[in-house]
Amino acid sequence: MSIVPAMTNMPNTFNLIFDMYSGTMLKVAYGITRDKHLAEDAVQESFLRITKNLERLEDIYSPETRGYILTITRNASLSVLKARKGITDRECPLDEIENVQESCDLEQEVISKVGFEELVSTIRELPKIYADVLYMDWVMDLSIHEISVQLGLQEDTVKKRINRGKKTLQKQLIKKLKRDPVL
Amino acid sequence: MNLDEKLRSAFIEAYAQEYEEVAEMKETSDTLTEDDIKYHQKKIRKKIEPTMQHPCRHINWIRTGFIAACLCILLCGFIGNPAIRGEIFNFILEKYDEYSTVLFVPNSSNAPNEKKEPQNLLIPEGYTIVEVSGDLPGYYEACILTPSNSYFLLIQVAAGGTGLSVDTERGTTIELKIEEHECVGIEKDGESTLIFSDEEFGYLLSTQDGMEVLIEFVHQLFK
Repeated sequence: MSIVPAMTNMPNTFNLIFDMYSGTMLKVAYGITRDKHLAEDAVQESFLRITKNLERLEDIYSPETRGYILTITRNASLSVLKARKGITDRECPLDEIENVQESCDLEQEVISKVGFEELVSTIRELPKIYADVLYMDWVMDLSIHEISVQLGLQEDTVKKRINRGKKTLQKQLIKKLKRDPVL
Repeated sequence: MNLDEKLRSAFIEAYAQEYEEVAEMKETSDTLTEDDIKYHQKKIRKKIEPTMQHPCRHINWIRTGFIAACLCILLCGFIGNPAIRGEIFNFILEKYDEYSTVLFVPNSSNAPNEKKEPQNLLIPEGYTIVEVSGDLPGYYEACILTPSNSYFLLIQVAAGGTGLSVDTERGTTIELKIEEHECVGIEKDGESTLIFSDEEFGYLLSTQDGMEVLIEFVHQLFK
């Protein structure tokens, strides 16, 4: 695990990312915060988080990076909004509802049966809090610790969301398969 | 395409679609205008760029320092007595010395020639504090290089977490149990008993005896 990032070309990469994504990031942040100044804070916070992971972004123009930027901005906006309202993760009821300890593996059979387009649309219907951690895990290949840093969540929360996300995705896919077995 | 790859591609596609939708969103009364976006982009760039140039990227400290300096200049202007003015300047310089040693230690990979050890800290021979940062709200970390120059320790705490955990380069996570700022023991893969607040960990990172607690911990770890 490399802890100190290779920062040789950081300012240059940073400028490219800024030019390419900051406009859309502001739109995403404003969509969540509904406040121009909070949106600005959220994007600023997002860039601080992105710099911590800059060396892992192999191609800043790739669709993977676009999704990553979207995820970071969404979560930074929620953090800024929570901070404004004085809510901490511990008070967030969503993660206190149930204590999911057992790990959940997606059934390979379900994934193999469902078509690609249907899989994409099911992922889009997933609650964002689950989809974002799964994206960081499966697409960005980050560790639990790295996800917690990047999304500003506690490690326990990340683990719970990954498990619940997998379960929810599986449930929704099974539901769709039952409705239409030839997807 | 194997199943993992199918799942991964589906996620990428789903997020790419969502990104495109937001990027191409038409301007309405409910969205930011192009002028708003340009204005805020400029502001963000101004705020973030100095931290990108700075080896340690302590945006909060730079911002706080700047505001404090402005306030001091204003204060000094109002206080006519040169003795008081001198006292204020001395105080600022003293504080700057104290904090800059801890907070503005250059990152080794970014600025190798500027690398220096904090002067006020009693660091065991061979250990080097590489970076101390707390620029994310509720999250602090310190990187320490061991004598063999082979391991970075990342000491970190998140607000509301269950104590202080240390990740070594080898990927081991070790919990540190601290009582009243004294290192009393190390628990491997166990739960620590103390919950740190932002303030407490800020104390650990920003004062000499706080840093000594951390250094002592490093000593124990590699004993």
